[in-house]
Amino acid sequence: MSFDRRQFIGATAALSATLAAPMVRAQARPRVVVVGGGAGGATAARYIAKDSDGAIDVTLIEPSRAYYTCFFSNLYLGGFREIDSLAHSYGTLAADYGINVVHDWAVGVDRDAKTVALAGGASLPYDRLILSPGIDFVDGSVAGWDLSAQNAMPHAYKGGSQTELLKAQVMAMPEGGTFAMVAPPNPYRCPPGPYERVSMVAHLLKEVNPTAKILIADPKEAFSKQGLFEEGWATHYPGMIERVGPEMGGADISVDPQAMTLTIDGEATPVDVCNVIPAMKAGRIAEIAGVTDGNWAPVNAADLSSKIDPSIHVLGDSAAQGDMPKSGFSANSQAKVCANAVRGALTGSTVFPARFSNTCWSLIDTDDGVKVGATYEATEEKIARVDGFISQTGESAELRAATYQESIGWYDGITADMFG
Amino acid sequence: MRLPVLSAVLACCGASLAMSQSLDLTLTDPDQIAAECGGTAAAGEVLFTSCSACHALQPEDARPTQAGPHLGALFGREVAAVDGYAYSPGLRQLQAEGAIWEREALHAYLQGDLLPDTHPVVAGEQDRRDILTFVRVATLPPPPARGELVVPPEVLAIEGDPAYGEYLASECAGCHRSGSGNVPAIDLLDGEYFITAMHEYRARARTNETMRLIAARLTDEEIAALAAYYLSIE
Repeated sequence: MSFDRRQFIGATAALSATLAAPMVRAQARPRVVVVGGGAGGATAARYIAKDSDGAIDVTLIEPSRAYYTCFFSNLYLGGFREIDSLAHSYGTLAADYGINVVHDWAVGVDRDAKTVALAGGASLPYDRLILSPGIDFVDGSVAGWDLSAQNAMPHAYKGGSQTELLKAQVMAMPEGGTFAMVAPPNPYRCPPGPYERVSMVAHLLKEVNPTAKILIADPKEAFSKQGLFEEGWATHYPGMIERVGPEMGGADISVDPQAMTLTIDGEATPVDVCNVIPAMKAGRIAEIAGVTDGNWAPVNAADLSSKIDPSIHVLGDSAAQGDMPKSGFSANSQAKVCANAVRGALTGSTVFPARFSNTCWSLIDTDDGVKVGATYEATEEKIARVDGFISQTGESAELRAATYQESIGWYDGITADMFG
Repeated sequence: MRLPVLSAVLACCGASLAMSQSLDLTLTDPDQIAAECGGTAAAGEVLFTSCSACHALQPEDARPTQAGPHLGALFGREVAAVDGYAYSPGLRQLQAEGAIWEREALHAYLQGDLLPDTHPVVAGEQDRRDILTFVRVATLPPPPARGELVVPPEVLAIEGDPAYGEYLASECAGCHRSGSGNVPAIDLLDGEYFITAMHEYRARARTNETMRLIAARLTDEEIAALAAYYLSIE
């Protein structure tokens, strides 16, 4: 690597001085503020800091001190990962890359003054603002459920405590009980995620509670990797999983978190665990910044800049960018294109043409991994799909095991790419 | 393969083919094939239903009742190469001359301009292009075996731009990291091995679908740039 650690310790000291009096600046180093320390934000911050050799001030705003990845959280549910293995610190980004990591909530954006307001009261100026806040939920999208019910009926669609809660509830299910999932409508984070989760819960139940049932209420006609999941469910978990699609009322549902019932098409079913995954929208700060149109933030494909404000870039799940799925891999891929473009705009470095890729791995049962992937390019209109592949039904056990091993390697690779 | 023969054939038929010499028979990427053939595979697939009574796409699908040969690896194949069919005198003549099929000759044949025989004519220019796009994609020869592919010395000698390579390598870094792991480390590979491996993925001589996809859109220069970058960080 070409960057020099000592240079960055210097950069950190300079930045700390800046933060002490954020609005009084004598120095002219351009400032990038990144909101959200996940696959999009952490990657963007790291690449801008790494590749600009200290020429750009980078501040990363992220409320969590330990980041629990949402990707691979299903493997924790299935018993294939420890929760601690999903936790990552921002220490290396601060210590080795000179990024000013601020553990706070961004609560306001003044686009005219180009400042970000923090819940703690500080105001951070920026030349470029990168928003990568992930998802929030659409109020009222599941009748009977709101955030106050997330303990009784967890969403577990943001990594961390919700994931642990859901697993504890599965473990506490009565013998022969029912695990219910309310699956989300499109578009949402991690298209195969709900169905990998069903697979992992089934794997766990098969071990600890083999007569238990899984009921999915799904508003979608079809879902990601459907043929692969359905083949796997029939092989590994025969008779355990029932999916109610929209033709059978899967879109017409409500829940009662007090009574613990799921009502599908007017018929109430008592359930023991209810995983409610509501409809999704861009993380709230994108809306506060005024860069959303409807639920998502439209961006230009070449540099992920907002179509509403060219000084703001939006990455990952929050962005309406075109054909890429909302995944950690996509956010990481977009972040590197964005970082290259932002660095070019602020320091005159070479901007190379945008190129994107994505692969989503899913685990169906022990050593039964599948994947789907595609490459993308930037067009005037959107990020457009170029080419792709998907695992095939009937693949050999060796290939499926290799695919799972590859996903573990990807997890190690992407988290190193995010956190250093 | 380059054809010495069809130019002569075309001349003798009086077909006014301003030969663009776009006879690259090594294309394997469907999008590049579509661009080269000027058609759409999906449209060609629909049109091909009129051809499939007589022609199978691959040898294993050929039926004895079909009047014409299978079209497996048609682009680059010798004329009248599949035994057991009643080829026209014109096709037999081409066969005797050792001609091989490529796009412009096939286009002229479908148009009825290449030979005076009884093969059905496809009237529309775009229809011909669509059919040829589809057939070419659907009849690609199987990929070479790993180790079979030889990267030409002039390609190995391309001097890559390490700065561009560093940018391109950011795509790799989403999965590959230094040190051992479930996805192999690539930063310390021998340059020639790395370049050959990437060409093998692009030619589908290696099996990993993710890597085939990544390599599919890398040019020779981009592979060289990646190699130059990885060498620069040693």
